[in-house]
Amino acid sequence: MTSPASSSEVKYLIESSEGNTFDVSGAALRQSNTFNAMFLNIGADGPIPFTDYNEATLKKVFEYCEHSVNEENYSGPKHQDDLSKWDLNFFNEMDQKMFIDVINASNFLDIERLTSYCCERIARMLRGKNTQEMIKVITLPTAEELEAKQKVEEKKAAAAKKVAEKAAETAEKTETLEELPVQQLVQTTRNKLTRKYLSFSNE
Amino acid sequence: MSSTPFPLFSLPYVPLKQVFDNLGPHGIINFSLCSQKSRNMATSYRGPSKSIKIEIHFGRDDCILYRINFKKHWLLSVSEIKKEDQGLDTVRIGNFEKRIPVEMDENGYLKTYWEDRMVGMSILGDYIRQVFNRDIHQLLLGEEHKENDHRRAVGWLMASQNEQVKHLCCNFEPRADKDLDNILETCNYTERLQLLVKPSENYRPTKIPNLNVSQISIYPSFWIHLDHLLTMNARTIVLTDSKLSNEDINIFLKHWMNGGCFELKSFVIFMHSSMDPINYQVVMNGIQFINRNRELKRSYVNHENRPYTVRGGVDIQRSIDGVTATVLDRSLELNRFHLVVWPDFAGNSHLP
Repeated sequence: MTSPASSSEVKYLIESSEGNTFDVSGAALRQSNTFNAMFLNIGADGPIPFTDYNEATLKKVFEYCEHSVNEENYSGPKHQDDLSKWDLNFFNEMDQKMFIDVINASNFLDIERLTSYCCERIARMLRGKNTQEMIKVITLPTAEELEAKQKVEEKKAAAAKKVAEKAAETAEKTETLEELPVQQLVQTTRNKLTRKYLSFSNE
Repeated sequence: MSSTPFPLFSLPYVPLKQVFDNLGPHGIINFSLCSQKSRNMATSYRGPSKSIKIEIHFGRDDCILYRINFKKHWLLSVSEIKKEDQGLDTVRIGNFEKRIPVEMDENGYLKTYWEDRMVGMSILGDYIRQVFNRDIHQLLLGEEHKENDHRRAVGWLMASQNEQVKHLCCNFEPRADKDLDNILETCNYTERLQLLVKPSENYRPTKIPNLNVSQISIYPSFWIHLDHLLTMNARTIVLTDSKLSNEDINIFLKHWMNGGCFELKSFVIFMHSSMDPINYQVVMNGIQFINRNRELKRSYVNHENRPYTVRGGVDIQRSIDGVTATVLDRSLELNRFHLVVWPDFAGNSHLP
């Protein structure tokens, strides 16, 4: 299917989590250090399985790679203000779920430029924000919510402790009963029933 | 997407680190104050957003800052709390028992409000040290708000960071000479001493301060005597309003030629107005030198990486290793003595 030594016209087949396959150029794939380490030198026999990621995500990632094939060599993180119109459109048309999936895929495929742009974009959401604003962005519970949560947890823990103590008590009694010889056990049960009967009859 | 919540903590380690790399020091602090978890993450992060030299300033501005190319960037400030500050958002800082009112300054740093400024400074200093995993580099002592502020500041810093700080800078008017004495005795600085303090006319430190540091700047320095000068082992020395005599400078030059003040690269003295102009015949008395023509122009790069031209001057040589120094020609400025040692800070030789 592929020849690792050949030029950028070579197409590789990529397999997504749905089992679908699609073509990606060698030049685009070579931006992935993971691909370079795994397949470039040994070649791939059949579709390359990136089955942890869905087709839409992989297509988005490789769309970026295809686009940046002809750009200059990557030299460290680029500021968002330097992004081209195409780059901006690329990021703006993603919803948040897709954006997170793209970061994860880009991180796995080790595509430096895309990962760094994504991270710069996240940092941009946080920079210049005060603590309260940051808490809202990174979906952290506020201190008050944490305290309330802690109180609930403490109540739960106390209740669980009580239940556990009761269970332990019951287990202890059961254990004691089990340890008694059969005859003694019968006698104990009789006594209990008698006590119960007496207590009822007393009422 | 900028205002919608983002599940930052679900990011894998490498992208998360890259996000922190892009946050900068202010972002790291604000992030660390969000929760215990975020504080732990900010503390364990290592990267460029933490590559700063932390300075703590007590006095007119109670603040913590860092510099890039000599430009100050405030990280946090401390003020005394007033009634109107009580409606502000609050955060928990370190293990301090109370929540502290804070607000963002328009320049992006966090203003914090405390009942006791000195407590605030020490809590913030400890917090910054912990989150940035580094000691405070510079201690600046400005005018005291209350008596004993300096003593408390130095006491706290020495007790909390292994008994030392790299750079001590004092810029205040002392109430009494013992104020300066106390600081110089109790503060252990290891690289740089900068004193912009005017003690009384008859001031003489009870103990010779630590002058075995890389950079010394003393303005005014009328209290610096020959015995102080001979204990210095700095790369740069700047003294203003000096009352050192021509004979003192002559002795110092001979001291240097015999291997004293071995690290010296640049030595500048501005004489006190009450002193006579520098007499170079006395200064160079008994010293072998080569007079350089003013047509000879040599470029000297100083400790701030700034080049300037040395025209002519008088070359002297250290006997033990042949290192050359030039006493600059200051025939038009006789209240100033200037010696540079070659090679300069950029490694340029004295030979044209």
